[in-house]
Amino acid sequence: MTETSADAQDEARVEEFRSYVQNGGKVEATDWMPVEYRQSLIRFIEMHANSELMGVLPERDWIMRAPTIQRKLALTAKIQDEAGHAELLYRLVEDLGKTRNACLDDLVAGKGKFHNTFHYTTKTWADTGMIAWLVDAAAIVSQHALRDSSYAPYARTMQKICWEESFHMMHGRDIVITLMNGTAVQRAMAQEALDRWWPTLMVFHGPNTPAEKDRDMQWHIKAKANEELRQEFLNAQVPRLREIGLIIPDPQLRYDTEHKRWLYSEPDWATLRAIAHNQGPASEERIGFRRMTYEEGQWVRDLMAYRMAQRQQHATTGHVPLKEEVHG
Amino acid sequence: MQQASKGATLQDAGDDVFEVFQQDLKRDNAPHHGGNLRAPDTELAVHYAREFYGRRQESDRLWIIARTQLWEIQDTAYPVAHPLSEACYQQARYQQPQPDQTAHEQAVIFAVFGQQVAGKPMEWLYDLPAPLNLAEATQQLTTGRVLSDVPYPARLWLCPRESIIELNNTDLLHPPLDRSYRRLDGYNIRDKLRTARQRSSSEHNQTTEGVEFTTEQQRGQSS
Repeated sequence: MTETSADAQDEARVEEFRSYVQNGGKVEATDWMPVEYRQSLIRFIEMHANSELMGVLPERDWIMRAPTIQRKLALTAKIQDEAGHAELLYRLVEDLGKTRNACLDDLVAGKGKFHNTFHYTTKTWADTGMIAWLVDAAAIVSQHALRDSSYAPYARTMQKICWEESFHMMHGRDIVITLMNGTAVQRAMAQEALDRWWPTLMVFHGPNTPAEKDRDMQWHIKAKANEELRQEFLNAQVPRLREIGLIIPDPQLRYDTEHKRWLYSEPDWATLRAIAHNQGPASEERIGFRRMTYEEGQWVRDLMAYRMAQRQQHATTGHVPLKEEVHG
Repeated sequence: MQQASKGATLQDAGDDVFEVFQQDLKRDNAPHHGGNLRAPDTELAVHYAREFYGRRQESDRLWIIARTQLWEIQDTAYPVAHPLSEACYQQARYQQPQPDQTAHEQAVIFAVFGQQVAGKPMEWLYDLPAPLNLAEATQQLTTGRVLSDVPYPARLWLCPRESIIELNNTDLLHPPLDRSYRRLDGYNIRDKLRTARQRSSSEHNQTTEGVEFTTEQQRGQSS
């Protein structure tokens, strides 16, 4: 019996599953799950993993230019964290049925998706501070909500990731506050960086899709709607930006006390859609760089495969194969 | 139990997925499941486990177990242990899993892990007191409580005690280095923030600062 026909024969089971997850039920990697749920999970977590992996590239550019040894250490540690998160997430995707190599192949071929903020270039050190503070703050809002995901291995991984990320935001905020306490030129640099990143932050959580049309919410893969996440982000970060003298580059941004929500200018959804097709300002450069490092690392993966094969053959036949016998 | 520090005694797993359990002795009563990793052999698995599950010095003890050495009992009313490495990809689980043909025939001490609350990680519960083969161990775990004071979880993992690679080397898990930059408490922004707030509020009243910045402020306020 194939997966699909088994599934078609058992629509009642799918419905039962749907109401189970909608009522807060938890699913483990070894549990039965509908094909559609599995595929939604793969798509969602793969994009998250890609984003962690691609997200290190803008920051990587600044390791050698970071102003002090302490900043270099913190930035390097943050980058190691993000790469580590990518690995944890790719493992989840593998257990769901898509291999890490397949994800990476798609990514370097320009078919994989990753988060919009990582399609932009950085211009000054202040960008590093803004990214670590605000992009991570936006990500933490999403990731906190994902700790309630119906897919328990993902929810647990989010718990770990949120804990590891707690210092990232503080590291970024520390950079920005330090600049704001510096010279007029440094303050202008911080303000420029905010002007540059604010529009990308306003689209970070995606369009205001109603929960009933959001497939990932229906499966309870994510637990909070996009607009709710954006409001949470604004609630926490707008006062923090304003108190240190930064001006948010949106004249329409204000808090509606009556409806208890933030009002803002309509974000640039057209640009977000272009980026979703990997047509952002730095998409090509970033994917190209990832492709280059992937190709440069091929010899390591070949060696690993060779060692594995050698060991397996030795275990079964007692014969140690030559490299040529493994890679014909 | 194997000791990770004795590299020569490590066995190669033949599979590249390893499950990792971690324990912070101050907080956790028992090692709990952290996640898993891919490694070409046990030696690298130990190094990866330390990076992934111990780089913030959050673990005093790590258990690294090849996934091929773990069996899952999903429903204690249905006494079948199936290999975890196969269970992960099974789509049609409602086709009842077949008993594992390659399962442990020889009697060993099994370590038992359980999930006490749905959604929470698997946790080490106890070791079975006597050597048993896998079928006997499954039988014993599903027909009666082995230790009466332990609550009976619905999901169990079993692995031969001897397959657990333990890393508890303090030099590796708690290296004597200042890594405060990795921790939230390594940052103290209170004084800086006070300075920034004071400057910001005085500027707001006087607007005496640099021309470029004042322009930004005016732009923000006038529009």
